[in-house]
Amino acid sequence: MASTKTYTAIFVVLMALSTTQAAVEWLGFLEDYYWETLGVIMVLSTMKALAVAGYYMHLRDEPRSITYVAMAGLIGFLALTAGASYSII
Amino acid sequence: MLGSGAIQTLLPRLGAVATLSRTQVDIFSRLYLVFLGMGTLVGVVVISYLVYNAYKYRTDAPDADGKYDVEEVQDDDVVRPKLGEMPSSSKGGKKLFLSFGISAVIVLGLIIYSYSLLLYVEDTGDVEPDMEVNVEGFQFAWAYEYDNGFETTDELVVPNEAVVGLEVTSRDVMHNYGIRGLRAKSDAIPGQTTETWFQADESGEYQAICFELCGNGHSNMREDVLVVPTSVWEQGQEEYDFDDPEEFGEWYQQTLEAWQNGELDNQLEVTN
Amino acid sequence: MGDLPPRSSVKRWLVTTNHKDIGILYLLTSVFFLVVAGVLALLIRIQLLQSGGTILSDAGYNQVVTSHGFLMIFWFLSPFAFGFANYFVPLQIGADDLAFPRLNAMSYWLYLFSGVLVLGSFFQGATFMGGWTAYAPLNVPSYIPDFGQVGSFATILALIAFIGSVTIGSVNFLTTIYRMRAKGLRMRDIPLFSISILVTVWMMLFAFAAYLAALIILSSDHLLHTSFFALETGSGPEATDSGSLLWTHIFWFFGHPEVYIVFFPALGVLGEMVQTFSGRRLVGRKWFIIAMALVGIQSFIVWMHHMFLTAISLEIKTVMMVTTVAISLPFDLMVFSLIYTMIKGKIRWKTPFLFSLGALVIFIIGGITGVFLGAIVLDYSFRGTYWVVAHFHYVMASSAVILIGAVYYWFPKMTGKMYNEFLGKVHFAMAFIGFNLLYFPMFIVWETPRRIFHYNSGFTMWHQTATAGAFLFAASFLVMFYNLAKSLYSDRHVGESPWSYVASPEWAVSSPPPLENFPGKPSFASGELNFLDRAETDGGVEDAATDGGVEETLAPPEEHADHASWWPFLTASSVVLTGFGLAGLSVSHFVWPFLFAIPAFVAALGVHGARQDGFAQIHGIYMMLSFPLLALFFIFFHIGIGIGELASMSAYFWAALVGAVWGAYTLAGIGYESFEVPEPKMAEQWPFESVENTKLGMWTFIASDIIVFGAFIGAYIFTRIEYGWQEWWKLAKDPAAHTMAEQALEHHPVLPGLINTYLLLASSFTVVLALSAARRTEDYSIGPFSISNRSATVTFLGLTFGGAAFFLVNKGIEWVDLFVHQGWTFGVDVMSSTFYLTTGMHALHVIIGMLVMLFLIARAWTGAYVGEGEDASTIEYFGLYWHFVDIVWLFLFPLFYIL
Repeated sequence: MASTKTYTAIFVVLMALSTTQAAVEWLGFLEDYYWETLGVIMVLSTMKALAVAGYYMHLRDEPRSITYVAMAGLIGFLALTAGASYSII
Repeated sequence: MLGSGAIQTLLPRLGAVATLSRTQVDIFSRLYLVFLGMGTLVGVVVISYLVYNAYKYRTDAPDADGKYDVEEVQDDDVVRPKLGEMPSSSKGGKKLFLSFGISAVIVLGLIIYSYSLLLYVEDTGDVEPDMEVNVEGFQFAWAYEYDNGFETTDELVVPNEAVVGLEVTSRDVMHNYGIRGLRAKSDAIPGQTTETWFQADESGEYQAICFELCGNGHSNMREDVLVVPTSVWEQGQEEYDFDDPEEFGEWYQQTLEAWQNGELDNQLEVTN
Repeated sequence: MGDLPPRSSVKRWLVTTNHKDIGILYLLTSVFFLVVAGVLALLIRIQLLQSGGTILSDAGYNQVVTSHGFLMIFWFLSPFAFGFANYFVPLQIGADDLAFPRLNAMSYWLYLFSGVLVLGSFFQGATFMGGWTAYAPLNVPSYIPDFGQVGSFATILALIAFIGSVTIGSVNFLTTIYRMRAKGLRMRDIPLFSISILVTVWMMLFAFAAYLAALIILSSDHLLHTSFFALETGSGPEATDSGSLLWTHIFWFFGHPEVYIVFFPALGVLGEMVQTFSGRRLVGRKWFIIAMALVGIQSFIVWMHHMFLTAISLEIKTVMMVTTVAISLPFDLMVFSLIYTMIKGKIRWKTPFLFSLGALVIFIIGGITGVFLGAIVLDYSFRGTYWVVAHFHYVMASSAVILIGAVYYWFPKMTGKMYNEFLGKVHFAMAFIGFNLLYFPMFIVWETPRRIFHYNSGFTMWHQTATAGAFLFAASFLVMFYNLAKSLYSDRHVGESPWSYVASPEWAVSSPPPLENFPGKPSFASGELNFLDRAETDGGVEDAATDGGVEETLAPPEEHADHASWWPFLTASSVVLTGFGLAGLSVSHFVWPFLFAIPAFVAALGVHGARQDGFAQIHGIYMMLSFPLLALFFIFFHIGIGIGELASMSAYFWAALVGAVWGAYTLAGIGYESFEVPEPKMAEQWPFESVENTKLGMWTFIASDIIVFGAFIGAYIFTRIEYGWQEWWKLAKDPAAHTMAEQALEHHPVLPGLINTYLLLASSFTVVLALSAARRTEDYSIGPFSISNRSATVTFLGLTFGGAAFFLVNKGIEWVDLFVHQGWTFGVDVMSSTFYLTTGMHALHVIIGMLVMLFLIARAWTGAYVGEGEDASTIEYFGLYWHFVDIVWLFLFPLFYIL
C-alpha cells in the first residue's frame, strides 16, 4: 500500500487529466483536428485508467500474473472490436 | 462452351463479353471432388490405423481375481502408468510430429488450392456480369429487380449461359438466398448488400430456397428459378424491347404462362 | 453453516456445498435435460420422415429445433461435463473442495432454475423460435409472433441466468486449480481432465461474457424497446443497418469458443481413458497440453468463419480462413497422440474404451468434414445445409459419446459399485450404430436445407434411415439407465480402483471418496502421491478467509470447513420467479419490482445484521430507513402508474415483485451468513502464491466483466462505424428524421459527463482512504481532534456512497432532460440506444456497488474490518470492483460525451 500522500497526488492528476479532456473539446480542437484530438483524448483516458489500476487497485504491488489476467480480458475486447470493425471498413 | 461472339449477338444489351471458363457449379464440383477424395483417403487411412492398433495391442488376459480388470504387469521396456505418479509422456514424439507435419501439408495444400478458386469466385472470374438482378428477401418470398427496372415477386427468369450477378439484401430479417443446382448462395441481411453470381449451362427449372431460419414461413420460402434456353431469350429480344420494363414484363408474363402450361417442357434440360 | 445431514435425507441435497454432492446433482440434472432435448430431437426426426412434415406446425417445428439446440448445448453438454469436473477436479489436484463451495452450490442452483425457466417458457405461449443462433432481427419482438413474446423473452432471461451460473463456476474453478493443488503438483502435472477443465473455464470466462452482453442488449430491445436490432417506425418495424451483423459478430465471438467449451472436457477424459485402457502413458503429453492451450486462445479469432456469406470483406475472410485452418492442426496432433498411445499397449476393450474408440472414429469424421467447411468456396454451398448439421453433430455429439464413456469409467468411483460390462457393451453397440445411422445419411443428403422440413423426394429414404438411427441411439440410453440403476443396488463392490494402470489421484482413495476426499493431506513433494498426517499440516490460525461472507474472529484451532447452507438454493430460487415475471412485464412496469426490492434489501441488512452481530444503532437505522424509502417509492409509483392500478397488475408483476424482494432478502442473508472456508495451506499455487483466493476470484470476475463492458463498447464502436463515425451526432441532430431538438446535442453534452467523472474519481479516492483507515494501527489526530479508525472507515465508506449517489442523481437529471424534455427516448434511433444502454449498464454497476456498500458500512460500524484481529480484505476486494467501475467510466466519458 502506498502512502495517503501518493493516493492524493494520483487523485489530483486524475482530476486534472479529466478537465483537460473536456477542455480540449471546449476549445474546439475536435472541429479542426478530429482524429488527432481523438487520439489525445483516448491516450489521456488510458493514462487515467492505468493510474487507477496501478495505484488504486495496486496492480503494481501484485504479482504480474494478476495483471495478465486483466490483460487477457482486455485483449479479448480488442480482438472483438477490432475484428468486427475491420470486417465492415 | 460459351462462344464469346455469339453471346454478344444473342444478348446485345447485356454488355461485356462473357468469357467464363468455369461456372460456380464447375468450381464447386471440382473442389468438392478433390476434398471428398482426399478426405475419404485420409479418413480411411487414419481410422483403419486407429482400429488396427486398438485391435493389435489388445490383451486377452482375463480379469484378475477380485478385480474388474487385468493384473498390472511391467513386462517389457514400456513404462506403464502407475497410481500416484507424476504424469509424463511415452516415447513417440518424433512420430507424432511427423504425422502432424504430413497432415498439416495436406490441409494447407487443400486450403491454398481452394483459396485460388475463392479469388476467382469473388470477382466473378474477372468478367462483368451479363446482367444484374437485385434480390430482396422478405418474409416469406423473394423480390427481384432486373437492371432494366422490371420488378417481380414471382419466379426469376434468366437466360441460359449468361453470367448473372446478384445483389442480395433483405427487407426485414436475415435470410439466405440460395439457388440449388446453380451454386449461387448469399446471405440476405437487412441494411447490408451482398453479392454473388451464377451461370447456368443447362436451361431448366431450379429452386431458390431460403437457407437461414427467418420465421414461421421459413420452411415454405422457396420459389422456382426459370433458366430459359438462349433461343427463347433471343426470340423474346427480337419481339420485345428488353430495355423497357413494361415490354420485358409482357414477355416475362408470357414466358411464365407458357412454362406453366408445359409449353417449354421439351426445351428445358433440367426439370424439377 | 454447519454439518451436512446424511445423503439419504432430502435436506442434504438442498443445503450441500460439497463438490461431490454438487457433481452428482449436476450429472443427474443434465441427464434430465438430455432426455428432454432428446425427445425434442425425436420429434424433429419424426417430422422429417417425409418431406413436408408429419406432426409439427411451422411454428412448432421452429420451437422444437431451437430448444433442442439450446437444451443440448447449454443445459446438457456443458453441465454434464461440469458434473464430472465438480466431482473430480478437486480429487485430481489434491484439494478438499472447490475454493468457494457456497458459490459452487449457487452455480448449480442457478443452472437448475434457469433450466426450469426455459422449460416454463413452453407454457408461456411459445418458447423462443429463432434458432439457437438467434440471429437478429428475428430475435426482437417486432418479428416474433404475439403468442411467442413472453416465452421468447423468458428463454433469453433463462440464458442470462445460465450465464450467471457459468461465470460463477468459471471463477471458482480457476481459483481452485491455481491455488489449491497438492504440494509439488505443478500446473503441467495436473491430470489431463483437470487441465482440459482449466482451458475450458478460461474460454467460458471470456466467451460467455460476450454472450451475456449480447443477451442484455437483446433483453433491452425486448423490454425497453431500444433499437439495436430493429427500429420501430411509424409504418412498422425496420431493421437497423448494423444490427444483424452486430449480433452475428458478438454471437460467434462467443459461439466458436463455445464449440470447444463443450468439447474440451470430453477431450480431457478421452486422454485419460485411452491412457488407462491402453496401459501406456500418453504420447507427447506436453504437446497435447500445448495444443489444447493454443486452440483455447485461437478459438477467439476464428469466429467469422461462421459468417463467410455475410457482408464482411474479403480481407477479413482471408484472415479468418487462415486462423481456422491453423486451429484444425492442433487437433490433428491430439488425435495422433491418442492413436500412438495405443501402440505397444495392453488394451482392454472395456466399455469406457469402446466409447473412447467409437468417439475417436466419430471425431475424425467430424474433423475431416470440418476442413471442407474451412474452404470458403465449399462453405458457400454448404451454408445452411445438412452438411453443417451433420458436421457439428459429429463433433459435438462425439463429445457426448466420450462423456458417456466417462460415466462408465467413473461410475465405480462415484458409487462404489461396478456396472454390468455386458450391458455396457450392448449400449455401446447400439449407440455407435445408432449414431452413424442417424448422422451419416445427413452427409449423403447434405443438400437438404437446414431447419426446413421440405426436401427432395429422392432424399426420403436417407431421412427415414436417420430417423431409425435416432430411435436406436435413443434406445441405447435406456439400456444405460437400466444398467446403472440395477448396478447401484448390486453387490459388485469396488475398492479404490476397478481399473488397472490408472494414475491420477482420484483412484487412490476409497469408492466413493470420503467427505473430505483424502485420508491425509495429499502431497506430491516427494515426486509421487503421499498422504501426510493432517494434524501436522493443519493447525495455525492465520489465513482464515471466507467465501465473501463474514470472517470468524478467531479460527478454531482445528479448522473445519462448513458444508451446509440454505442460501444458494434460496437465492437461486428467487431468480426463477423474477425471470418468470419479468418476461411478461411491460416497459412501464418493469422497474418497480426492483425499486421495491431496495427497501427490502435495506431492511434485510438490518435484520440479518442484528441477528448476526448483535443489535447496533446501524441496524436500527437501516430498519427505520426502509420505511421512508418504501413510502418514497410508493409515491413515485403513484405518480408514474397510480396506486389504484396495483389491483389490476398482472400476475407477472406480482411474480417479479415477490421474486425481486425475495432475492434481496436472500442476498442480504448470504452476505451475513458465517461460512468458514480456510485458505489453502501447503498448496502449490504458482503463479498466484501471494494473492488470496477471494482476491484472485475477484480479479478473474473483473476480467470477465471487462469483456461484458468491452462487448458493449465494441457494439457501440461497430454501430457507429457502420453509420459513419463522424456522422454519428447528426443521427440525433437531424430534426427531420427525429423529434430530437437540434439544440440539445448541438454542443456535445460534455458537462454532465465531466461532473460525473469528478464524482466517480472522488469516490474511488475515498474507497482507497477507507481501506487505509481500516488498516491503520494508530487513530487519526489533527491537533486536539482525534477520530478513531473505525469512524474514519465508516466515514470514508459513507462518502463513497454519497459520491455514487450524486453520480446517479446527476445522471438522472441528464436522462430526464434528454428522455422527457427532448423526447430522445430509448429506441428513437440507434445512437440513443447505445447511449442509454451502455451508460445504463454502467449505472447498474454503480447501484450494485452502492448496495454492497450499505452492507460494508453496517459491518464496519459494528467493528468489522478495523483493528487487531480483523481483516480489512473485504473492503479491498470491494475497492477492486469499485475502481473497475470507475475505469469503465473513464472510457465511457470520452466515447459518449466528447468524441
